[in-house]
Amino acid sequence: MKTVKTIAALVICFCAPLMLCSNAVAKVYIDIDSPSFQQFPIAISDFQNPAGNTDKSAVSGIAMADDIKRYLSMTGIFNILNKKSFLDDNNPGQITATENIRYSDWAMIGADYLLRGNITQNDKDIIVESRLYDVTRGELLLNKKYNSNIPEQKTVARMIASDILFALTGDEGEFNTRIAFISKKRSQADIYTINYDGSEMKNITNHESIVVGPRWSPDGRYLAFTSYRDGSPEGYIRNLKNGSDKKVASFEGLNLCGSFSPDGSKLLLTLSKDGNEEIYVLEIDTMKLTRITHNYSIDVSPTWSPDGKRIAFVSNRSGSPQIFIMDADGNNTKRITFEGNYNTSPSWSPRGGRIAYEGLINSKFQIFSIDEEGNNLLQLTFDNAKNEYPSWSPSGRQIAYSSKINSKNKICIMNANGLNVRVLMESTNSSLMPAWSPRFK
Amino acid sequence: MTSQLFIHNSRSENGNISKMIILSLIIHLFVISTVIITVPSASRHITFGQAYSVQLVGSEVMMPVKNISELNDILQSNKATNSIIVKKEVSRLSSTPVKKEETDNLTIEKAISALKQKERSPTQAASAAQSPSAASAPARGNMPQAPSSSRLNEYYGFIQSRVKGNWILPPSLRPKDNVVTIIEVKILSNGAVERLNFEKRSGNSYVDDSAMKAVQKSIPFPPFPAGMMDNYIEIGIRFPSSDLR
Repeated sequence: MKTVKTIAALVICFCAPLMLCSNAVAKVYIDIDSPSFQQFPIAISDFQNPAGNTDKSAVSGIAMADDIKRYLSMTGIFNILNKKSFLDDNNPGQITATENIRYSDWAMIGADYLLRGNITQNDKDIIVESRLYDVTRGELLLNKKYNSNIPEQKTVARMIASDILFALTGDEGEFNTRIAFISKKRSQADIYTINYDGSEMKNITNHESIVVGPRWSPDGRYLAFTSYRDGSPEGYIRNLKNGSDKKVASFEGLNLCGSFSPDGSKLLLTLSKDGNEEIYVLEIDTMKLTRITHNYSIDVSPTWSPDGKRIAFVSNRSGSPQIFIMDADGNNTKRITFEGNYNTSPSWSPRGGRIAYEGLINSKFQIFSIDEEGNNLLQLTFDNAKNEYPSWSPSGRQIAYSSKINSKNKICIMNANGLNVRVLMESTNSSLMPAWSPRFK
Repeated sequence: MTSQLFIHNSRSENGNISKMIILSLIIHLFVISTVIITVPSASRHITFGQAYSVQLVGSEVMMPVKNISELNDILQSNKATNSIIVKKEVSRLSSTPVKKEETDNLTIEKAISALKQKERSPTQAASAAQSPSAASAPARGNMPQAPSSSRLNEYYGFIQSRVKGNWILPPSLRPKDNVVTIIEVKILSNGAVERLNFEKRSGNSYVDDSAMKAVQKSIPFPPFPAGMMDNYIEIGIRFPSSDLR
């Protein structure tokens, strides 16, 4: 009948678009949960001599490349490819203005980045030109010329490594930093500093006594420390330019220096003058002292957060030494470590967010890091050594700490996730309490 | 008043009633089809992530080589190289790239066999394969039993494991907050890529670059497996970056 037909026609008309609908593709998303690799693979060719290859220039080109490789591997975020795996490095001549790089050759050995360069050596100076290529995109990222005196070859390598790091991570790295630490020989302990690459160890204090706990000021011009030179532990600030010491805390009892505030105007102190160890804030210019913990327990090892608003410290108010956080005025104290029964030496990451500390586990001291809320606890060291006194690098990417096993005393540097451990310095003398300087200009 | 209307209607014949029925039917069909067409269907998210994620240390750990000592030397950990250059006749270089491809194939084959196994057995097999993606069930999304879409999901598995294997990002470059980068890519049936661009940038240029690089290094993708009906697929690849350290 007509009505049935019209009904049927209408039904079909309305159903047809439904059938078309089911073919319309909703977008599919694929999730990649985490990266497979944590280090950029980079290939570094030996530097060439534009004036032709003599033996001497070949050696300096190889040495320059080796220095750069050494510096880049210190950062822990590069996987330096072994040059034996390079496919025929078939540009033996100088690098020219318009080089033809066979990017596929480099991609095939797994390189994401390629560094090539020239080095010209005169009697007085060396001129280095370096180019960084992005192999995946097939483009030149960085092209720079460096001019320097001959004895400063390593400085050029450092600058090149710094520039590469800056181009790839936005951060110039720690090549211009030093680590201060305590070296104890027999009954004397003094402060020494050493460069990030392990060179130029310098003696800073010579108190003929015990010196502990060095702390850098944010501009790198001062070191605060505690010394027993005059019989009892007193707090000093040393001016690194002229070598003068200023006594800033000589109260009765214990005077220990904590960290400087991020603006450099204040210094945290642990003093026991009012009965037991409490934390105080000292305004350096006015020498005004403010007490911020009021507790019958022992409160020590204070360290400022990078924004200056909070302070982490160690207290045994809950029965055993644990890490606490409080506001910079002493209010809102909160405990953040709950694992283990001996957690001390907190150090706050300059990027914010995490605090490294040493904790006793299985009768050994190891380095841990935990976030500011007390979550995401990570153990960073696992070996049989006594690993103590963590100190963050200015970029927050690495941690220096002291490691003692048998008679070997080391200061080590590792990435913030515990990988890529490098021995900065090793000695038969006790080496303790590393403190990482800010970046020097 | 309604009762009056009702009496009015019931007094007329069946014709009026059937008219009302037709009208009601038309309106119902119209409304239903409008609703179905215009409400956007939820995008399918296929996640191959598992409950735990394994952080790989680096390529030197990934590729153990037993026999060839030269390769062993090359693939050693990144200690500082000496300045003493050992010159040896090396005939091995061609094998280095092949090794890399073999690893890729191995991963893909394991992914295929793991997926096949999963299809056969109703219970989920525990994943021992190198690519955890293939064996674990997707977190969301329907998996209809039609053969074409299971091939499709296999292919998604290839893509997931290949792009993941090419994603390099040092942990210190990850931003502190949870951001996500989405790369959209249109893959043709022969594996070639017709379009590749950012669907969403995270705002952190290092993370975005690493995501784009991971996809660029994965090109060209393998051609669609036999049995996949589509001429092309358009997918979004999500790279979440939450700071774990």
